[in-house]
Amino acid sequence: MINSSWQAPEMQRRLARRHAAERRFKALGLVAIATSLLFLAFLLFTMLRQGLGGIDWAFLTGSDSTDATVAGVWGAAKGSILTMGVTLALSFPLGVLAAVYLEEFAPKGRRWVEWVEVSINNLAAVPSIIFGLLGLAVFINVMHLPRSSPLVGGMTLALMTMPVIVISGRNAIKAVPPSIRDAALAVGASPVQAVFHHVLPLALPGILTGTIIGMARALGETAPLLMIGMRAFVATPPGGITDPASVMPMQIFLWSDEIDQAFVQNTSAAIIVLLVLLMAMNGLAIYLRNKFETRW
Amino acid sequence: MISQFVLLVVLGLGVAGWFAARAKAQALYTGRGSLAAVPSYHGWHMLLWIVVPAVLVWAVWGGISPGLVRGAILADPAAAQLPAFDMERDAILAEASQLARNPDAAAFNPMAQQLAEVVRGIETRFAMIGAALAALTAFAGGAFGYTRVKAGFPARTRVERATLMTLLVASLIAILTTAGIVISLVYETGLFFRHVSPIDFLTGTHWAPRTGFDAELGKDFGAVPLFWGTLFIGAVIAMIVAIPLGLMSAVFLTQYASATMRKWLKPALEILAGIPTVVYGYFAALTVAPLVRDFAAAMGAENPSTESALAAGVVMGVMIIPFVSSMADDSIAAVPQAMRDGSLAMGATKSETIKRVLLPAALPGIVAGVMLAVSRAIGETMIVVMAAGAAARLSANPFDSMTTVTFQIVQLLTGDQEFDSPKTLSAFALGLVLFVVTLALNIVALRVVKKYREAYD
Repeated sequence: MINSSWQAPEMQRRLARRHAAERRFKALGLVAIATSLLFLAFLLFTMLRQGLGGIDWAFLTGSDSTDATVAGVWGAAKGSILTMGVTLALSFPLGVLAAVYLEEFAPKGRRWVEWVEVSINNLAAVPSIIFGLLGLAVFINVMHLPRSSPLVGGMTLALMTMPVIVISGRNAIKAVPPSIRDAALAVGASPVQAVFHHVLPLALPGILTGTIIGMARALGETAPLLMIGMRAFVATPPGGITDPASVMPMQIFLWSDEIDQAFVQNTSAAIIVLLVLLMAMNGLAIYLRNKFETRW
Repeated sequence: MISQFVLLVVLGLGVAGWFAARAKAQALYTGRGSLAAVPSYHGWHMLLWIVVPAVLVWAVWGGISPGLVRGAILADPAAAQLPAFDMERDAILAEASQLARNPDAAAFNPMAQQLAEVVRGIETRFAMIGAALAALTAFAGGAFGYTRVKAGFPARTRVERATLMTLLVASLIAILTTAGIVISLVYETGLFFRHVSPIDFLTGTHWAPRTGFDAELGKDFGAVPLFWGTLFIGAVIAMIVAIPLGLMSAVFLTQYASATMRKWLKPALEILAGIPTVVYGYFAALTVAPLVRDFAAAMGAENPSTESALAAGVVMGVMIIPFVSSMADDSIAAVPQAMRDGSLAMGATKSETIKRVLLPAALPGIVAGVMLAVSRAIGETMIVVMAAGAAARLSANPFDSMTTVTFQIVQLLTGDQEFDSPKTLSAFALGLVLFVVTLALNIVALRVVKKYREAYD
């Protein structure tokens, strides 16, 4: 029979054991998160150590070359800019308009509206390489658009980015209180006017945040572009959206395949440039959210 | 070139029409209630009537004119000595039209050089006809729109109806994309299954894709080693890394960390999800893989390969950690506060509450999160392309090099080859399998999450 008074030595030992288990569990959690962050730090440190020496003005303004010492990242960066331009020009208006329709005007409970919602949610989870297969089959083999061009790359990435914008756009529109809508309707605005003059401007910061995050993801994407052949060796920056081009992640991939050891520095340097760009974009998104977020 | 010019002119006409119609409507204004719509809506109505039909006509012309151009070229006397053989003739014509657009290019075929001048003339002529048609439509539409500017005309309703149509079309793009994916994958897969039986493809264990068609083709397109490699890397190794680390991170962040710690640690963890996969791939190939190889050598393996399933899987697992963590976070947060309070009130310690109450209650959500994580991992491409290797083998040794579905899709579709070889077609069959599996995982996971949310609401 155990003495069940809490001052009894058995009970004390039992308590100590339980508290030790408690501390172990807490330490385990800390170790888990520390391991993840250490891995991140190790990755960033490796890239910085290998690549920082390779970043200079010539690297930032030069184009790809077979000679590692003169190869630069500008050609790929310009390809990325053109591709992102096409992606943004297509996915932002389409995404916002679709979000407005689904959130404000779509008839509730209709079969085809459900299909639209289901397919948007599923598209957001489809592996990116599948979008590449779609781009290859439709844009290149059926529509005969120029292979390896920012036009096709941008269109493919736009299909991938649009669901992200629709989902964040719907959440932002949903967050605008109904009183705004009601007030506009009450003074005689039509439903379309209420949405475009009042709801949409208030939802815009949220939509922009989602758009920037979607664009950052598209900027780092490689696999779908590999499918549509954007792995051209581009020694001069592309002049327009139908010229053969490469993009920054693709440049990293191509350089990482080079046997010449001198390209290791280039690869890491290009990774640093890409990561800085991505962090700037995400930072901008966080800044926008904090600055314009309204609690109703 | 001419396309951009036509669009600019049409847009310019539209803007001019906007001002004209607004001015006319303003002139009609005689006092409150005298106009059914504000003058600027009359302007928009007019602009739509000018731009939309003209652009449609130009697009339709762009669709039919290549056929007309071709007919005109073949009817031209300069084309009389072209070979009658279709493929050869097409090649010369294609080169001639290339030359017509870019006169500096060197001609490969002398016949194309002669034709270039003719082709340029004909192409310009047809483009001019199209431009004239578009301009005519713009004027006709504008004239019609202008006559509609009347005091009682409900311009706003019409413009809003057009706006709603645009919104509807934008939201249908999502369905079109899904349909496009399904149709293109199923179509190409159908072509592939004409040569290789689906049973051979799904159950065969020998993978050595090649070109050329023969009866033995099915023996070389057995995809089981790819499925195994994909599952072993994405669903086993990556999850062994991601589940404990992600789950414990979530537990620590939600249950133990102070508000300040959480504010800093959570975004830091999210950075892992924002790093492009090509960077992970490079890191896996350059840094992790040699470590794994040295470790394997130290364990006594004979010439371990540089590319290993372990290196790719571990790095992939780390990439997934924030995803698992935020899914676990959500499902732990969804457990009702009363259950936690009840456990603590009975004298259980925090860790006992987490282990015996919170985690079991959150389990369905966590399982769904893991399924979503698996679907991400098996669709991941760049890490395995750069670190996992090309050898299709059935092996449970994590130090072996292994290949995956996504790696093979990339391998089969990059490089120059004709589009209808069994090699390229098999990539689409692999894509279809990948699409179906990820879709199924997502649908099941979302259903589980939904059901589980309802249980506590």
